[in-house]
Amino acid sequence: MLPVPHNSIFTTAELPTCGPRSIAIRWVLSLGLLMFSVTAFAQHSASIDADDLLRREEEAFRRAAAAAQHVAVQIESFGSLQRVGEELVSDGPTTGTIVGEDGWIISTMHSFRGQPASILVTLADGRRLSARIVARDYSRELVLLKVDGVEGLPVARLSSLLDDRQSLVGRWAIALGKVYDPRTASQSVGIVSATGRAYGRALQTDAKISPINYGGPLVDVFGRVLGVLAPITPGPFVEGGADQLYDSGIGFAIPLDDILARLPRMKAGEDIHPGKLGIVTTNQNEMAGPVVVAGSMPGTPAGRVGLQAGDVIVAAEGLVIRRLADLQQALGPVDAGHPFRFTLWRRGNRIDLTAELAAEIPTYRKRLLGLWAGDAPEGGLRITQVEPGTPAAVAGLQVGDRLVELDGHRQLSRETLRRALAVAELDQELEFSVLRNKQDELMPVRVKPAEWPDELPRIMPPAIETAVAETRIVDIQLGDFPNHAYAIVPQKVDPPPLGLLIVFPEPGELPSESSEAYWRDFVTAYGWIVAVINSRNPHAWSLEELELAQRTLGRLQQHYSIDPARVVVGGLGIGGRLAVLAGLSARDRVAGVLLIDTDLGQFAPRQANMPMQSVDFLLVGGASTNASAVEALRAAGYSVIEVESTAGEQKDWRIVPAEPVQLWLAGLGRF
Amino acid sequence: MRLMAILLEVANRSTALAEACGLLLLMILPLHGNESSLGSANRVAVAAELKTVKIYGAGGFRGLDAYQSGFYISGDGHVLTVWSTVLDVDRVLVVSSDGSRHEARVVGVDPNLEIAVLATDAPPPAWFDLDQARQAEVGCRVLAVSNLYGIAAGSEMSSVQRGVVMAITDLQARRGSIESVYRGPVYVLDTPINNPGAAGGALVDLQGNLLAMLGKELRDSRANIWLNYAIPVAQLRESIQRILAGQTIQRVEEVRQPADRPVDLAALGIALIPNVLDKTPAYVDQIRPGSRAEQAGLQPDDLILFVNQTRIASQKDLLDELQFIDRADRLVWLVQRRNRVLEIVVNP
Repeated sequence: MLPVPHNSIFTTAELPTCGPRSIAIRWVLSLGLLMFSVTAFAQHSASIDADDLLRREEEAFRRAAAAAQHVAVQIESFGSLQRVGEELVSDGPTTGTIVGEDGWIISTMHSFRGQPASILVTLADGRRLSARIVARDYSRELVLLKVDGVEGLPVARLSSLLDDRQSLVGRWAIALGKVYDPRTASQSVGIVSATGRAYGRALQTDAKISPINYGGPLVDVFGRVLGVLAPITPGPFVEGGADQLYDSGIGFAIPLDDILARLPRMKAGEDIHPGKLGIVTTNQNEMAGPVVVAGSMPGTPAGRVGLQAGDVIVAAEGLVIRRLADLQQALGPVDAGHPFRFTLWRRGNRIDLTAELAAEIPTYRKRLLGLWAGDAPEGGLRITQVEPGTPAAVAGLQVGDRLVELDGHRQLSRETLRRALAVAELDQELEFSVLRNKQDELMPVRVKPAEWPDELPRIMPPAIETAVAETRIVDIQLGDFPNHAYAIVPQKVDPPPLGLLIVFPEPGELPSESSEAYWRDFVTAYGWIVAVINSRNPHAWSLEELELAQRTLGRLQQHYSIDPARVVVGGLGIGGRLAVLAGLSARDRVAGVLLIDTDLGQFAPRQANMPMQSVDFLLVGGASTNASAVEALRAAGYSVIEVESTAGEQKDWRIVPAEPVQLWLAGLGRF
Repeated sequence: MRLMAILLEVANRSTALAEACGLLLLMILPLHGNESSLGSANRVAVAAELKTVKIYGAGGFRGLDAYQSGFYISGDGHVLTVWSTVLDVDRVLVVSSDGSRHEARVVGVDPNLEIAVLATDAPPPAWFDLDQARQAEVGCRVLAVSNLYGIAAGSEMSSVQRGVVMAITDLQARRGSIESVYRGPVYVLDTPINNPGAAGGALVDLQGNLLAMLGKELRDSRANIWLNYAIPVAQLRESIQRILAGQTIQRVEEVRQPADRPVDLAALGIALIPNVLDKTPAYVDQIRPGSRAEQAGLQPDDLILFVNQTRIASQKDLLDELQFIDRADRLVWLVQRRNRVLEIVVNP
């Protein structure tokens, strides 16, 4: 895009040509007479005193605001719902920015979540007009409104500074809003703090951005529009909603050029959605690299372009990709339905691919074959149990079979099978090469995976042969947390690795002797490690204590071989709420969440279920109060099994029915 | 074409240069050797600071602060501050920027503005002349001087914050969203200036002119944010003069009286849609033929947005508002009909 000549704005009627000298100097400069201008500065400077410069700077800001304030309008909505989910929507006025002289206005989704019965726009000249929502940009959280029967409205002038994003940081930026007064814009002065925020979608500014000016323009010192102020979610590293950031010196604006590029589609009524690729990486930590593909979410763009396990993504949309965060930065600005160009290494070859991004990724549910198997010493996997009625049973797999290859790939192990199964398509058969009995010949067996059920397994794996005779109690050091935590470890289990249950009891739970005695029985029966974390405060859990689950897991992993498919966070009563949050925040390391008599309230998961990061839920008791939470978890793709409790009012692990818990725990380890 | 592109490129870069003109000036001027504080508000900040005081009194329990700010308003050592629980003691401690400490008494208060005037009975190092105070415009750059968070003590200077007058608004207009006794106009600032201990501080422009007094912490429930504001001196001047003249100012309860004969929708000939939700919009369901509503031009399916400048977000808002309007009053309705907004006047 060609830059707009800067002198053009000084020829408009809004700014008198007899303005202060600084304006004149800019005009001279914009003709490119750089040498003269330095001389001009030197000559003028002798007559400028300290107060004068401050006054001129202030005057420049005011002129910028005056030049742009007519493109901001006040917007009020009527008859909108007050509550959207748990979010309280403010019913005060908001601001919009005019982007089309015949009545096109951009504002933020913030004020229009409640489906208002009426939207009223008040122009800078006091005219009140009815508006309707034409389209939404879900990626940038904007709405496009249309006011009919008007023409010749003042339109946001695009700042040519946007052409060079590198030069934006540090420039003056003035935020305008119309909430207080439809005629005179509120003004907050700051600078551009950063570009490419919120996964490459937003400018950041230290001007005061709040509901007072959401939807209003962020203008440069010439009164040209840099962007539209928006309360968008900034990205992975900031906790809390964007509207909590208003006094923090952090505000965001969606660059106007990005908005204008999408305007024709939005005018035609087309909603914009963030583009999704559907890739599953081996490591889900944002800062971990390189980005190695574990597979693609079934039925997604990544699947359609044939991403394969082991591919390493090294570049995308002109950015070098070293870690997952880089890939998200590249994906952020690309809308659904648009091509996403990326480059990967596959077995020594560099491959360029283009995938058309999707708006929706189908809700993911874990895949099930219906068998238990352990790594065989001679290679492959030995089946120890087959669940009747499952795909494995239908395909004729039998206890004792050794799975040697999958789809022609050798080195089948629990880990490689888990990865392959996680991203398997439901309508495609997996072909195993199987050795049965003492035969030497590999036998092909085709299995079509099913969805992981919301029911307990119908059968148990064979009992642990070597009953756990001895247990040991280990104290767990939690660093700067003063909480008391200990683990009960079975001394002899065959075969390793071990399952691990991390427990958040009720605060001030049982005296440790009786608690330990109970858990020792549990460990003896199941052969799992049980780690118990006691609350710091004997009357309450605090949110920060949920981190203790990961710390405990980390400590125990240093000393014991733990099966990643059987790491469970459990909670009793209110401790269960902590268990849910701890489990979901460590989704790549936790396989299940076990709740006893926990009231989940209005809990809803923020992230949908993902391959390799699936979490299963077993809820014992408390069923009647948890209906909405269970529904929300299932809608997000998680397996949730509910079991009646016999515990009644008395919250105690010792009354938990053993069988369903035992079945569920065993079921976590199956394929 | 190529030349054109180069010219445009030069123009583009020169903008960056032009914007950095403040910086350039700073670099060039020392060569001329006449001003080293160019572009600095130091002189103004220090001058305002010398007129500002730290005030200590009652409190310190139940989350209430035991300190606040104030500033000298006379050569006799009178101090203007906010009226708060801090002043609920016989003697208030006032500490000037030169470290001098004065036991001050409360001369008088205005419960409507929530201000108090203290007497230190000692000539101050410097003071603001209220008659010299100015009015600010939106966009005016300002300094706020206060002892926010009680960070300064003894002869330490109070804190100076910079900001911009973001808007000028009437707290009256935001009734219901802000719980404040004071209802008049305020300067809204773009900087968090209303922190614990800051109330009573001074707001000056960059020429050092007094503009306003920093207010107490207030939350705007409609916008769901804390309000950063200061009350213009013009709103306070008369009241301060009355206090200094020894007059007592009574609390004026500003209660809206319901009308004797409130407007009745049925009598007008308007039936609304069934009110089933908390926020049922004020849609007209039926208009009685021959009624005054019909004569005025109201129609079924009209959505009522405003009645006499009052925003009607729901049927409840409408019914509440009509309680305060007499049948003898003129009614101006702003309604939405399909995609048009119409003003309809119903005369008594």
